[in-house]
Amino acid sequence: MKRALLVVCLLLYCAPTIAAQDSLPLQLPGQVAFRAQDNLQFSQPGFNDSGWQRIDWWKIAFTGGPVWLRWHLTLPRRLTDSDKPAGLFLTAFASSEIWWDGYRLGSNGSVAASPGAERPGRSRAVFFVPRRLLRAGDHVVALRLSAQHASAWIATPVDSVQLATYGSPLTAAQAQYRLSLASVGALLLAAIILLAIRWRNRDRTALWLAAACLALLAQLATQISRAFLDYPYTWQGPRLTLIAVFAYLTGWMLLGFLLSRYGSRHRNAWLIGAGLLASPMLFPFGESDFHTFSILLVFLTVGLIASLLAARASRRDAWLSVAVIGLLLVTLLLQPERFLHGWVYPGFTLLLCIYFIDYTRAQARIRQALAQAQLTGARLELELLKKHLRPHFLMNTLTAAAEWLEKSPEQGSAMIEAVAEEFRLLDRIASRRLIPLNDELALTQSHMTVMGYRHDQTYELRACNMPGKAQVPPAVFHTLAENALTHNRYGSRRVTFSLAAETTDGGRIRFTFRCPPGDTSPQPSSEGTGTTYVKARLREAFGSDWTFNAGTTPEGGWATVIEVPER
Amino acid sequence: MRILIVEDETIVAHRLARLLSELLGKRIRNITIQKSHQEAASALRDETPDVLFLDLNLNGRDGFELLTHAVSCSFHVIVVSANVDRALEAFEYGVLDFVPKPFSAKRLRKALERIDKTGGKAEHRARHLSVRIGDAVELIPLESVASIQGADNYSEIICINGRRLLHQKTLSRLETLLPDDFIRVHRSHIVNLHHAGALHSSEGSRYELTLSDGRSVPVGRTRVKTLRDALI
Repeated sequence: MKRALLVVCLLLYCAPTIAAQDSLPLQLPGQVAFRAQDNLQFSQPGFNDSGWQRIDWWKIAFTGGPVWLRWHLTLPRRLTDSDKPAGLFLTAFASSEIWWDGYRLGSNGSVAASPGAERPGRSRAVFFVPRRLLRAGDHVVALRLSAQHASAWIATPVDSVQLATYGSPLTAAQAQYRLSLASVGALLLAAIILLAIRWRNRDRTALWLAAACLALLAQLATQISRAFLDYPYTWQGPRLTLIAVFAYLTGWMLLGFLLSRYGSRHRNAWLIGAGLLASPMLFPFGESDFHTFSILLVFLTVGLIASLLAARASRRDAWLSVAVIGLLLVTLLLQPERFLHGWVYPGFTLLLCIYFIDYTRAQARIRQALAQAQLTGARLELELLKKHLRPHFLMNTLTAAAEWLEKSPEQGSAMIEAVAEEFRLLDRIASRRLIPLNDELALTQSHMTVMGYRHDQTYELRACNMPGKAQVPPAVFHTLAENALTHNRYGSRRVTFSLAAETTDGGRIRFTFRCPPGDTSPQPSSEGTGTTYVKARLREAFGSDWTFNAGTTPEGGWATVIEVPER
Repeated sequence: MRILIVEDETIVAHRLARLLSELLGKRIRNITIQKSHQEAASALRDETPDVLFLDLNLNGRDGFELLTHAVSCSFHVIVVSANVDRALEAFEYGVLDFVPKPFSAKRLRKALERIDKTGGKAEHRARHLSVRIGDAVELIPLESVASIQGADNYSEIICINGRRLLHQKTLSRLETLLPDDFIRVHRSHIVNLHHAGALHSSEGSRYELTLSDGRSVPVGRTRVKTLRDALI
């Protein structure tokens, strides 16, 4: 049900992004004549540029300027026959002016030889090309550029130049990010839910994953802003810096989530180490793609190692991480260009969504276990209270109290006080999972006092070497004493039970409860309701980390040994 | 009166003994307290009491095994227990009374009156009769009993299939335990009305009741009217 809901939400977020695609653009030839000089004569189609440098326009690296680029192209018949208006679409992180066959199409910003004189152009510009210029045959496109405010992130300012139906490149640029836009909704939804979980449960793992979703969302938003916002090219540098920072944060938060989720040791060391390793990529030098690649490589590799270690340490759910991160890493290494320009956002969104689903399912299992534990706790509390409301205990106690009141009113009152004290203690501790050892000893002694009045004997508990601040489940020794007094008869007037404690290696406590031998009585059975209660309480408090052993002593009595972690 | 108390709770046993002493006074010959089934069984072998006060939960063990044995004996059994949910079951075995804990002198007096028959029959009626056969005890469903005949200090149970068994209780003691469809028609005979046939009179104002198994039992003159009313 949750998966279906997730798919529907994803589709709803995808819907607005589905748009009709326009006709394909015509890229200008890759080879271009380049001159790092400035002369307006360079705009004329007849100018002889045979002596200029021939270079692929996307490899042209310059700052400052002005510089000139000249394309020699031949238009096919089909484009000239198109009845739609045509435009020259330029993406360049520079100010620009452009001529078609000597006809000045327009300018983007103002090209100048100094930063003060240059007015920065927009990162994207479309220049209308009149139909009369689009005859089939040879043409010359001249581009004059200056990048006086270029960022160190940008080595090659010219990003794309294409001739196509007017406006279509813009929608094509937006269409390129359709799948990524679908990710926006999924990431935002996941982040909101995870933050709600964090707010309710104070779960740090949820916070890491939510932060990773938000960081990826911010990175994606910054990335796709280029297709939807028209901004001066001077913003490109800070934009690329932001992309690098958000990529870093995404990787770092994802790593933090993995370490938290799998309970990895030395989490801080992992995070600091990976963070330091990837941090040089936050500084602008070289192509931004290289930085993004390096950041992803570092965090994916560290994440994979952490997942592998967790999987080897019997965290079976870590194998899912190994598989997904491994797949992303392999794709990044084998197809870096495609990955960085096409698959990175859908890939990471898928990764985060898988983790989101896995995490929420784990939370559901935890909630179910907690509810079961609470139910068990409630049942145990009820069981403990019912034991004392059962007719055998209550009616025999009342009968004995009636006799004492008639025979010896003082003793009768004392007995009633002892019964009240036992019930008060029970009421106070019954709902708790662990209680101070002193409270348990008081409860056990109060029960022995009541039974002493019933049997006209004195029962006492001698406790030796009790650890001061130890915690035990409620009514454990009380139940053992109750068992002994129910199933045994003691002939002597004064009967002493003993409880000893010793601390063992590994921070554990071993309690030994000894019952003296009875007169002719059988020993308590090993799996009566009392023993079942004790074991259930131990399980509730300590999981599987406890031991319970019982047997006869050399003196003919009975000893129960319980070992638990020290709390 | 010899009283045997089987109760593991010391003070409860003392209370029972004290109240019985106060209620019965000089009628008491002795009161014995046993704290376990084994000790009680041993005491019963040594001396037969007139009434047994039995707790059903001794040292955590179920007392119904002892109860089944005890109700086959000659003495009455009165259960004194905290668990009233087994009261009906105890009555069906043939106990005279079930005194719930905590008990008062007033409640014990009511139970003692049943022994004297001045307090009427048991609150709930038996559905079986426990009969000792050798060392074992057999439960005989009452619907299979046609009649019961007194035999000195014993009672002879005559089943509809002709089987005859000897019960250790006297006819008077059994009478207090049996349901209303068992009626005493003679000093020495109790009949099951479900197996009663016709009432005949014969010479000398004698009456006989024919049973479904073909036998006839005498009917005392003073009991004829009661029998006639019951047969209608």
